[in-house]
Amino acid sequence: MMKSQLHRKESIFAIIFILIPVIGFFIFTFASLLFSGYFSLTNFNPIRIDYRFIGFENYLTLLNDKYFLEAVFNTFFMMLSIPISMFLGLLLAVYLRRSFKANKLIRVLYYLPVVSSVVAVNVVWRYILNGENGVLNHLLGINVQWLGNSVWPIKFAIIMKSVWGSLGVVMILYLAGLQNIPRSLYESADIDGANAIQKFVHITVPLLSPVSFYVLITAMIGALQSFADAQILADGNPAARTIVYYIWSKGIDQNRYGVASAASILLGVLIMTITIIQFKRSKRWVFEG
Amino acid sequence: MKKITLLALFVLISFLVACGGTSTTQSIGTDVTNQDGTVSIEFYGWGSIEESIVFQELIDTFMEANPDIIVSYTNSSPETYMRVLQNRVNNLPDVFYLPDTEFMLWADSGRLLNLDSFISTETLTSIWPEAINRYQYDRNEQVLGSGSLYALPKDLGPFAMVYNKTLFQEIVSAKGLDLAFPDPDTPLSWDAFTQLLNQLKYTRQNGQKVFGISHYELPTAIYSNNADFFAASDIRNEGISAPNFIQALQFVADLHLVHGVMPSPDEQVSVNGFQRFSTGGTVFSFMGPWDSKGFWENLSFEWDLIPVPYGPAEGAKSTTWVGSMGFAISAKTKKANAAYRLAEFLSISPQSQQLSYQMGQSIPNVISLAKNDYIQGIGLTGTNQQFPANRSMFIKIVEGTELIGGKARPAYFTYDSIWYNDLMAELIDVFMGSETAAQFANRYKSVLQAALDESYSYIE
Repeated sequence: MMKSQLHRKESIFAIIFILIPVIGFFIFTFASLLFSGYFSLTNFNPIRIDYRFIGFENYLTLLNDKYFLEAVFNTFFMMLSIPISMFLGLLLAVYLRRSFKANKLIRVLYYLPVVSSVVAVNVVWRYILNGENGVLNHLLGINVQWLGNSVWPIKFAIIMKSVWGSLGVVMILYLAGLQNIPRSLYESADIDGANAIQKFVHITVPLLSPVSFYVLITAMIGALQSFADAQILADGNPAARTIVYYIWSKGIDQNRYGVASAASILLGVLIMTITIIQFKRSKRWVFEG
Repeated sequence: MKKITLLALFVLISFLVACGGTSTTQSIGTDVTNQDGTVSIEFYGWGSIEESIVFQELIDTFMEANPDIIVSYTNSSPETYMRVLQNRVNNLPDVFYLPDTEFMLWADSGRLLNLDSFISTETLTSIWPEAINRYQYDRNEQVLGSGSLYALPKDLGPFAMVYNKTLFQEIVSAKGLDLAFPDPDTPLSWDAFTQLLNQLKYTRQNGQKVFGISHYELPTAIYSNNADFFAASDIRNEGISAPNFIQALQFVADLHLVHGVMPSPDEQVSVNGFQRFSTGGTVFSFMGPWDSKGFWENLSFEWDLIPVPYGPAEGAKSTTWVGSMGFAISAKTKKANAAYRLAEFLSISPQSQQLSYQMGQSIPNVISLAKNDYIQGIGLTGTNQQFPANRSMFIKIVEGTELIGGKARPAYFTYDSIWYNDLMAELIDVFMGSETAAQFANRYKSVLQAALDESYSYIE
């Protein structure tokens, strides 16, 4: 009797604790999703009191809107930073796995961008990349208008900044993954006469594949949601506008909530599709032990 | 269990009542009042910290003179202001800033209080007619510049041409030129101006290139060549394929592409016109009255205004754009009288108007004050505040003379400014030299027309 009362009390508390995030999810995520879906079928403009149902016109507008298609291209193009940061992050983790004097300091330095304010980081990078007075051009002795109107420099600038910004978190995750690889595997490989590269390729890389998979999935979702680089670093430069920037610009800036909602729905579908494909394909290359 | 439920209910009700704020029981006229008979209104604006301090002082003065009104003032950054306003569109502040480029959408949507029954003839005749017309809208005919009044002007901002007199003199001396300062009253033609800029090409001994002009305001060039962004016959039709428009667009592009007297579009992104002018990197630039404060505080050289140059088209006249901001009142306010009194005080009272020009923020809205106190520089005490000596240029642009005029920005005339922002982004191809103005106009006119049609689609 006592036990069941205790259980019931615990269950009530458990439900209350669970209820808070569940209510949050329903209000801020699920309800927003429903509203987005509904608004995507209307010409809703918050300043106007009236709006009307227009079917799939907003979706057709998107498919014919060169700015949206450019935003899709830019978003995917700037994902080039993901393999680069994964590769460099892995090398860095392998290097920092060894113990030496400045090891912890270097880890902190590389991780610093991850905990820094996105806005502040982007503002600092604007100074670094300034075409006339920027540090980067002065250091390299070049004259590239990174933030200018040409299509490619701004894209490469964002890739460069993204690699710098994500290197720390990739490194930390790989370092954690490296701790879990048994030493005995490397010792066996040593006995078999494997060199450092062979050990890296045949032991380290496969055994880190779950970490790589996690990094890839989260980085791709993050890249698909990229906004600050387009807004702050590129200052709305058309060559750097991403899908989320497009959504923000259409909705918040231009009051075209119908089009913005349709773009949001398409982005959601895109993220879901890519994630499902990656999960399906992961069976081929992720080593689960 | 019942006690706990009742207690919870009591707490909830108390919380909701507390959130409701001051209870309102009485009214003066049509205004809803607080229990003590006062009226609380909310005023929302944007600006720098200095501007917010000035406005708080003005509001304190207003509250002293109107003890029955309590004003709660919130100041936001210009970057976020409109987004915040849009997000609280169903619960707008009683009085708020409204840029003229947003006016048509907001007035047509019924979000703004009609001020016809509030404004007196005396007030109407004391303000620039251009400022009053800017906030008139006929909701039935959907026409700007006539019909009811939906906001009082905060300011009129003529965007004039400014030049660095010290740098001008330095270049003239260094190159041994025989050049006098440009005439402060007579506009130069584009040819004469381009020739002048070519003569002023200069590289300092440290290798720093000095440009003739920092950038060129496209609407200014278009307006000064007797052209417009819209067809003369119908404002809802595009006008970029007209020869005068194409000529003006090419003139702006050629300043960099052909003459090399203006920074490239990329260089303009790296250092904007204001920064380049402030650091002595260019002789000419553009400024509005609101830049005066920054210039007074930061510039260590002499500067002055001249009329913008005019194009070769028939009937062309020196014409630049004149921006504006209004004090709008929410259509849903329950304190319309108090809100209007505040808006009127900020818009036309001598205190607010004098403080505004003395702070280097705007020219006065009140005609007599602008033509006398402002032009004479009454209250402008510091040495730097004596610039620009030709401050009457601002007044001439607003008032219009035989040679000089002003006109609202293109986005003011349309339902929204999306078409204009897209046009500006696309024009980069012309400014980079990838295509001529004529090629661009031919390619883009149908896109622009579609954008204009979409802009007006809400009011068809």
